[in-house]
Parts: sequence; structure tokens; C-alpha cells
Amino acid sequence: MTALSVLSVAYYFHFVGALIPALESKAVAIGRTVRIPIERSLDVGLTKETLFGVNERLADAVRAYPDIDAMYVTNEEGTIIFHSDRKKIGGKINVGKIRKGKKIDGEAHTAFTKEVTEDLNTHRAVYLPITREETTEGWIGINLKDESIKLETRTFALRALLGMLAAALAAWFVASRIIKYLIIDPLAILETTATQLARGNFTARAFVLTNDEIGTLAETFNFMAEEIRISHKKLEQNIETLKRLLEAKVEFLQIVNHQLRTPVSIMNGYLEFFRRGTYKTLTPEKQDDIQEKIIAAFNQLNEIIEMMMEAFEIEGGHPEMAEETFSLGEELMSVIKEFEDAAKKKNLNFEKIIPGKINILSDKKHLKAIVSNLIDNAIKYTPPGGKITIDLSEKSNRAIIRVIDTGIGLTREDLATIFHKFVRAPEGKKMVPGGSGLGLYITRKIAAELNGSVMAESGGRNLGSTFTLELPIKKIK
Amino acid sequence: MKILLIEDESLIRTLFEDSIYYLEEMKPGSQIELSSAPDYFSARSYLAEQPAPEVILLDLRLPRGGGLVADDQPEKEYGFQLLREIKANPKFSKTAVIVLTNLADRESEIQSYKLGADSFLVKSRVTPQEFFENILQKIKDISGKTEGGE
Repeated sequence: MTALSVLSVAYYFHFVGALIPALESKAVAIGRTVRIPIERSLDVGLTKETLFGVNERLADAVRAYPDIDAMYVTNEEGTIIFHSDRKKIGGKINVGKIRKGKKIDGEAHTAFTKEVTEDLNTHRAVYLPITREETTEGWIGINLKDESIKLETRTFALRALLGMLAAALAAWFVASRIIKYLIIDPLAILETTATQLARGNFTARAFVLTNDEIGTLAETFNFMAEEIRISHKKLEQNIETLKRLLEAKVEFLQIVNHQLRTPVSIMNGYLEFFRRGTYKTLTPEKQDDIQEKIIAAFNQLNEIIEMMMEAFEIEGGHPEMAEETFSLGEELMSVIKEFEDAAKKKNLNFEKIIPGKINILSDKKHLKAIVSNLIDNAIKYTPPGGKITIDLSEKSNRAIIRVIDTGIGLTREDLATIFHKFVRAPEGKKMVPGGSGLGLYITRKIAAELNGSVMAESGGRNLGSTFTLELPIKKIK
Repeated sequence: MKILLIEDESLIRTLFEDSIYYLEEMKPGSQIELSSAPDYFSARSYLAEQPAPEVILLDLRLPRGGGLVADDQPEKEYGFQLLREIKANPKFSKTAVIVLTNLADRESEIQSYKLGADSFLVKSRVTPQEFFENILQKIKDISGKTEGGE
């Protein structure tokens, strides 16, 4: 509204100013006509006709211009000497205030305009000075009709308002276009992309090309989408891995379950003799035989349980390896000693090639366990009368332990598979039924945990086997 | 009565033999003749060459035999394979085929019956002596009936 009022006031003055040229010529003409009587009036007094003529001319001018209410001439003191309304002649206007009004520069003359209050009515008046040689001798006053000005102003105000409305609408339209382009559309793109992502399409991306905050948001959004895609992929891979691990564990359990049942069945079957009370009816030889078989089955059961747990733990991760320095030669000798009786029973000859001092930093318990496994196997799979050699040597900072037997040997297929879980060489299985198939598997795993290795060689069936265990002298973890 | 035990664990085979020994000791005239085969191939040769036994005891976890390398997988398939073949062969139409295994899961049981097994026994739950007793009892019942009761 302020803009409106400013505009209308400006136009008001412009309108009034536009009147001036028209009035000017008339006023000038009137002035020219008037001046002479003024001069004459000063000199010779005014004649009735002259006075009447001027008033008539003023009245004509007022009639001719619908915007003019009254026109009059005053002397320098403000006394009205001519008026388009003869009744007003003799009245006085305050000429002192005229020059305080707003100045309007016409084509050739300068006019003044101000609001004048007369008989409780306020109207706008325009004053043109009558000058002779720079002296103001009087004024031509023109009263403008308020209504027309008001109407004009109102019409203008209305037009201005409509114009502003139209401009506002246009601006609104442009703005909405801009908003659509800059905000609505990009946001719609983001929404579509988000929906795509939610549906599982992780390759969806927001293509927002505007170079603003939303564009930046879209960029960030796309980074997020890429991260989602990547982590989803990782998750799927993890799930696959976990699935496989679970399947492996289930399989392991199934085999455990099955393997345990065999010695249980055997024990159960022989215990039937006791249940039925027929054990005492057997011959002493048969009794001993059955007793041995029950014990053997029990031992087998035990061994399987032990091995199972070890294998399970090893598979699950990295078992704790202790570290201490000890003499490898000494510990080997003590392990061999434990097997001496068993070897003797089977009439097997032990040969030991063990030099004195090889100190090693390693896990004593585990090392002895795997060496025991190798020696145990050697004894198991060598027929009576055979020979088992245990050989310890050192080469380029590694300790090498070899267990060489003259037993049933290993075929190429055996060599390829005996370190696998639950695998037993068929020939070995025949010779010594009832093993878990986990011994060498565990041995190899533990050797690896000790940063060493174990491998098997053989010339073939019945040509003996050599198992070589290599360990670093200094265990580096 | 001829019984063929197809079982790869030698200790189990021995257990069966020991259990029959007892039976023959305690029950004169039982006349159980027990043969055994340790794998698929040898079982097949036996069945091809020998007359049909009255009872076949079949372990599901059977290696192929014939010099095949064992792998990490339990050789379930040869047990079922053999079962299929025996049931498909008219030579053994009068033979009772009993699955005797330690694969105690329902799947194996269902599959065994599907393939025509007459019975499904879990080794660790049934002792050979119990088994033989039942067999002999059944035969007694059957022969008792055909002979007009006893």
C-alpha cells in the first residue's frame, strides 16, 4: 500500500504538472490580457467593461477545462481582483504561503501548487506568478477540481494495483517455475531413487544436475546409495560364508555322531554277554578276547571324542600356542620313551638319531603331541619285525624331525588325502580298524600354528613311509 | 539260514561273528550261516555268484571298494545304490533286506523304506544277539504257521 500511495502521489503531481502547459498558455494569454488592465488599473483605474471582460475570459477557461474549478487573478498582496466567479472578487488569498508550495516547472514558467483550505473545503490550487522585470505583481490562481483528480488518482491507483497484481502473478508464475525446476523436480528424483533403493535396486542413483544445495544433497545421496550397495554385497558375502561354515559344522557333527556310534555299537554288542549272563559260559580264551574287544572299543570311543574336540577347536580358530625354550632333543627322547613298550610288544626296532643340543622356542605340549601322533602311526602301520627311525637335524634355522618306518607305506592316492579330515588310508584301516581319521589332520593344523609344516613321503605299498616335521628354531609370531 | 552282512567296519563284522558263535553255542540247531562283504563291489560279486541269502544286512555307509580313494564325504550313496539294485533283482524277491546302520537320521530311514527295505535298524541301539534272536523267532513263527501251528 505504501508503494501504491507513493505512486499515486507521484502521478498526482505529474498529472497536475501536465495541466500546467495547457493552463500555461491560457494563463499566459490571460495574464497578458490581464496585465494591461492591472497596469491600467494602477494608473487609471479599472473600467467596468475591462473587469467584466477578464472575468468572462476566466469563466470561459473554467468552462473549457472540466478539471478546473475556478480561476482568478490576485494582486501582489493577494486580493482577488478578477475571478471566474464574480462573487469571489475582493477575497484574499495568502500569497505568503504560495512560494512555500510545491514548485512545478512548466515549459516557460514556473508554477506553485499547494493544498488550500477554503470554506472547510480543501482543494488543490496552482499559482502562476505575474512578473514584470523580476518583480511579482500578482498571481493567477487556478483551483483544480478535487473529484476529477481523485477519480484520476483512483483510476490510476486501480490500474496500478491491477498492474502490480499482474506483475505479482507473473512473478509468482516465474517463481513457481523456478521452484519446480530447482526444488520440486530434484526432490521428486530423490524420492524415486530412494524408493528404488528401498525396493532393493542398489544401483539406482539420483541424477540431479542443478548446482545448488539440492544438487549437493543428491551427490551425497548417491554416495550413500553406493555405500549401501557395497555393504549389502559384503553382507551377502558374509551370509554366504556363514552358510558354508554352518554347513561344514553340521557335516562335522553328522560325522561325529556316526563315528561315535561304531565303538558304542561294539561295546553294546559285547556287553550283551553280560546282560544275558552268558559271559561265564564262555571259554577263558573267549572271555579274554571279548574283554579285549570291549576295552578296545572303549578306547576307540575315547580317542574319537578327544580328537573330535581338538579338531573342532582347531577348525574354529587359532588355538593358543604357548612359548617356551626347551631342548628339542630331550623332549623327543621322552616321547620315544613313552612308546618304547608298545614298540617292543610289536617287536619293532627303534632307531634314534638325535644330536645333543637343539634348543627351540615353541609350544612344548603341542609339539610333543604331534610327534607322538607320528610315532604312534609308525608303530600302528608297521608289521612286527619292522624298524622305526626317528631323526632330528637342523638346517638353516629350522629343526627337522623325521619319522621313518618300514611299514605298509602309502599309495599316491593315500598321500593326496591322508591329511584330510576323517580320511583313513584303506590299507591302514584294514590293519588297524577303528580310527577317527583326524590324527594327521590335527597334526598338520598344529604344525601350521607352530609356524612349521608336516609332509609325508612313501615309496609305495609296503615300502614304508617317511613323515617330516619342520619347525622354525625361533618361533616368530 | 544264510545271512549276508554287508558292513565296512571290520570290528562290527567280528562282533556279529562273535555273537553268532554264542548263539550256536547256546542254541543247537540254529544253523545260521553268516557271510560278510566289506564293500559295494565285493557285495555285488558275492550276490552275483552265490545263491540268494534269506537275509541281507546292509550298512548304508558303504565304500565302493575296488581300489577307490576315500574322500571327505561319507559314502552314503553306495548303500542306497546297492539297496536299489538288490530290490530290483528278482533273484532276491524272497530275501529280507534289513538296513543296519549308524546313520540314525529320519531322512535315511525314510529313504530306506522308500527304496524297499524291509526294516531299518540302528546298530548302536540293537545288539547282534537281539537281532538274531528276533530273526530266529520270526522264522520259527513262519515255519510254525506253515507247518500248521505248534
